Amino acid sequence: MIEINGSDTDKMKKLLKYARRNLSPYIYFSDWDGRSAEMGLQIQEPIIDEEGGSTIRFLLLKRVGQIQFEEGNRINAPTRSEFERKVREQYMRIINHSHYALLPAIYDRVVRVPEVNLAMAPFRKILISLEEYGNISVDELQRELRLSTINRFSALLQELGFIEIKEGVISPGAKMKGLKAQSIDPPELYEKILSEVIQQRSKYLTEVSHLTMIIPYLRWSNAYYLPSYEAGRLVRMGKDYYINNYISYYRMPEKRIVFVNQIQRVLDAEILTREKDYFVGDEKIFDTYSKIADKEKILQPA
Amino acid sequence: MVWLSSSVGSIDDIRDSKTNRYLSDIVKHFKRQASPSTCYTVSIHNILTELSERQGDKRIKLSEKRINQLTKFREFIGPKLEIVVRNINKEIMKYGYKAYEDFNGTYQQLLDILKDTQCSYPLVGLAHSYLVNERGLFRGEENIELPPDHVVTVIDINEENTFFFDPYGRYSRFQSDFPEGIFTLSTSRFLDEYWTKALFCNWLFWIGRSDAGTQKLDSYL
Repeated sequence: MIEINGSDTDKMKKLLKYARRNLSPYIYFSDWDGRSAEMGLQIQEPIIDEEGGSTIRFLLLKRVGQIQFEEGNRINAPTRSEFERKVREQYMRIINHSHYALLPAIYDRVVRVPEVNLAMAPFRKILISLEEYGNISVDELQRELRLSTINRFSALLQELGFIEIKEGVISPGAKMKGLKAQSIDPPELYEKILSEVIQQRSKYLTEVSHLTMIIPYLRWSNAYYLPSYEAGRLVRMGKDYYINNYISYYRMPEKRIVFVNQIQRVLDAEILTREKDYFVGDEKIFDTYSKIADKEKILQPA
Repeated sequence: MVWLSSSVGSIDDIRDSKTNRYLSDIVKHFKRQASPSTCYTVSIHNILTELSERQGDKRIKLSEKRINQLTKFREFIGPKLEIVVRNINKEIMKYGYKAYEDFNGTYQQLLDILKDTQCSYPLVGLAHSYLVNERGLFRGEENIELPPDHVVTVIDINEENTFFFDPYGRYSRFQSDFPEGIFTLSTSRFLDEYWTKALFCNWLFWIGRSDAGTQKLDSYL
């Protein structure tokens, strides 16, 4: 029970104090209407730059719960675990939004990675056959290649406009013709198409087709580029801080050997480079990512 | 007690009121906050460790992990403030110590705690504007109404100056003449701009003897 006499501001302060004592010291209110408020959370994020000076930025997670005075001066608020779950959900929205801003910036590097290349082989086989013969039947592809994914992957390429399928026959689609008209030939042609497939359908590829080898690249890239975006520059990031970001974003148990090997693959793909004891991003990736992140307002989830 | 002019002298000359040690020696083993929502919990760890070492009583030394459990600390949302004192006391009262919390702290109270060798150094909550104005953080970022307070450890105070340890010190954009983490403010500014203007204004936390304020049996013998 709490005494709610006093001015409107006093009432709001009492409710805010209750929320900070019982849910989180980092709560703030928006949309206070005299009895209830929408809660937000200020997350303070250290940006540790080994050379450019470290600082702290904050993220505002909006709408993470409601709190209100009810009859008899009772307070109705979410439980702490409900509140924590909502905060985590909102935070993950930022992380996931960032993935979608990052993908167009790194896909051309990711597609060159051997294991991603291997996973994308069915797409490549369809495209090579098409390039050689002009058109090809779906039955023939299935019979010769014996790949269970041919139907799904052909449908996906059709959906993105790279091929057309009419009466069981595959022919080049408008987008593929467009690329060829620009004198983009194999192998660059395949690389461009496969990059766009990854960019446009990453959720489908990872969650439905289980091509999960893209995920570590995205996540490790995010653990570097998102804090850099918050800092507004490419930071010189030490290994411990980099790994801590990764663990914090994705709630991963610490596996040092797995982690350094995954990081090495990100370095091999030239998504990051290593200078002395720290990691530095790529200007081109950062510019592309920052432009999309600005446009999509990734730090302000609705 | 060292009295300093408004231009604070060298750190080498300054000793505290409680133990007559150099300020840099007091905070030598103080930890900085490892993550952003740990200013309170790491400060509790620091003052308990310092008190335990000074009193020669290892039983009241609690690891950060244990303090996080006791305070129901969670990533991003931090500790549950409401249960901090109660749960810390469950651990330390059996050894004759107690955590105290006061929402109407005064200058005199700070002086008393800082003089009492049986007490820890006190923690205070400062208004968010302290981080903006004095540490140069969060400039130009989106404003929110009544932003969160920040916990620091007061090491010494006099009519002119307040010395404190800020676990966020490494991120300060403004250099200090003192070793990392120690900062000073004029006492008037500390009291009126930051301590009183915190949402939990004049909030104070410290560890003392659980029988403080009652006469000990041996005083009758």
